[in-house]
Amino acid sequence: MSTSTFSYTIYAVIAASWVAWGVFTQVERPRYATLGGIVRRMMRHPLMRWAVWASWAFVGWHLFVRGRGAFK
Amino acid sequence: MEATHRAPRVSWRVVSVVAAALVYSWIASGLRPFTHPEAVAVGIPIVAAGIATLRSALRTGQTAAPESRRGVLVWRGLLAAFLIWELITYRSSPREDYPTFSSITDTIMSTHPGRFALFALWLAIGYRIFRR
Repeated sequence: MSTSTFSYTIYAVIAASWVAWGVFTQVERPRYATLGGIVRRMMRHPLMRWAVWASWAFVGWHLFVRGRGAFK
Repeated sequence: MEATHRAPRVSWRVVSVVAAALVYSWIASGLRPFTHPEAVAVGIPIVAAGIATLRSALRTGQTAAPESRRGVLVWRGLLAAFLIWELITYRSSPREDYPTFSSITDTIMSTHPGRFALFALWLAIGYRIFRR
């Protein structure tokens, strides 16, 4: 297995785990905390809500404004 | 007697908001990175979300049902796994062998439809988080 295939496989496993756990928590709610529930709780906290906003803003700015290689 | 089930109707307001968001995403995703127009196009939703966050911070007396804490550790573990792997690949080279999240999204965003899809997804996530 090449190094790049291995790297992509790790990302795929992490992404699949996110999806699998996300589906499980949705099916099992309210027994388990869903991702939406965690974000809702963070948005009620005076500091954490700004951390959520900054994270979302960073992702958007990084991907679309400071992005590399788009339309090459 | 047969029970009648009426499908939930989608209001014109929702349709217009979704249509406007999709048009906005298409226009914004057509702009080039590192340019002022793109910075403004991304900055507008960020400022709007900031205002919504500020308004929610000023609102007092919010009561909400307590959320379950079971499984939070798993979410933290998944986030840590992503961040650790991202850090490992970021510190390694060459990029072809060690793609980062950014380089993967760059590949997706090398076409306008791909860039549009990611922009619309980013906007939708922001709307879901900050609409309250």
